[in-house]
Amino acid sequence: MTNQSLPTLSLQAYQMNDNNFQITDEDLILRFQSGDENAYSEIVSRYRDRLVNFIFRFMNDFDQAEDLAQDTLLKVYTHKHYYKNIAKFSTWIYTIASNLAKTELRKKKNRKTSSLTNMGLDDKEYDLPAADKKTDSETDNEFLGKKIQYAIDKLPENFKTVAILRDVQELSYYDISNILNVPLGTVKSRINRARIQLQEELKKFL
Amino acid sequence: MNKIEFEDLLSKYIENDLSLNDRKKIEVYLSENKEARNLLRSTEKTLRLVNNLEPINASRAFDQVLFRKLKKFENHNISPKKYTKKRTYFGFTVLNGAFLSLLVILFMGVSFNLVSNILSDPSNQNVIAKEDINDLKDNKLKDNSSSLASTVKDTSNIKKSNRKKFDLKDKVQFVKDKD
Repeated sequence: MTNQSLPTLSLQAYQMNDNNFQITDEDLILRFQSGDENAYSEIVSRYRDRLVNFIFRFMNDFDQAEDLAQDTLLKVYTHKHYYKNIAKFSTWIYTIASNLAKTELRKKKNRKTSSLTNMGLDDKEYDLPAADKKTDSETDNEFLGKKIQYAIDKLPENFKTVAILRDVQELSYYDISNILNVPLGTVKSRINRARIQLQEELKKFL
Repeated sequence: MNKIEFEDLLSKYIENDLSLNDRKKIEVYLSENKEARNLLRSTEKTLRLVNNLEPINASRAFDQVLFRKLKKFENHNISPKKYTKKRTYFGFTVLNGAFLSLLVILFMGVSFNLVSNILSDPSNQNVIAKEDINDLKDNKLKDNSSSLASTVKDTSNIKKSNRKKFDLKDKVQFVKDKD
């Protein structure tokens, strides 16, 4: 395959039309497997933001989230034939993203870097906003958003994954069970525990 | 119902995923327990907050960086030699296999040559013949010694009656000697 055959990833070049939304993700990957590079562009445009959001909530680092989302889409490109039409495409792509994020998080923990993204609560901009800004709803939302993210960060890895997939990405229990390859009952129980733990962390702000 | 049972069913209650019987049990527990009501309220609020978290979108440069990564991957894959898996036969690559076969053939050739040289040389043949004779002698000696060993073995196993016979013989010999 030459460089000329690479998909054009700019939205201007790829003309989106209403018909594109009628095509399922599974159809798109099948088209891509049979050589349609535009199908890949459509997959990128459908999953780009979802993946960044999911990985950001997992890692709490935007640059790393973008990097891993790109790696996920790169894997879809390089391993397109690994997808079998027996599973949902979203399940497959989230499995790749989740595995990459988990691996990266473990590496990060092992490295014990002291980068800004790894600093504790006190080092981040979690200080209470100044009194005159308290009325600003945007600042309040931002503050609360950071608190929620901090509470998510504090969850154990297996609770965190299910909580993000269910409550942020709004995936079904069945899909989460397939992504994580754990029984449905385990998923439900983990989500329940994760919510109670989140509530414990956030109750003083509610 | 106790606190643990209530917490186990909390998410299912919020998501309306309980049987009518369990739902009734929880409602009875909630009506009697203020702590449980607080937990339910704050969990529902937390859930709402998490659901309403502002989505994080990819930056504008996302596609360009991804394109660069794809291009890099393609460039690495241009030379097929670099990434193609080497074929192996019984665990050997073609080159290794050829080299090993050559070594085996050389070894066989050299050993065959050595053996044929030894056999064709007449001086070596005499030596071999002498060695054969010596071997035969050795074998004979071995046979004799083995027969002797067997007789020794036999005498060691002589019974008392035989010893008596032996004594008689001595007496006879003694008479003969006299003659």
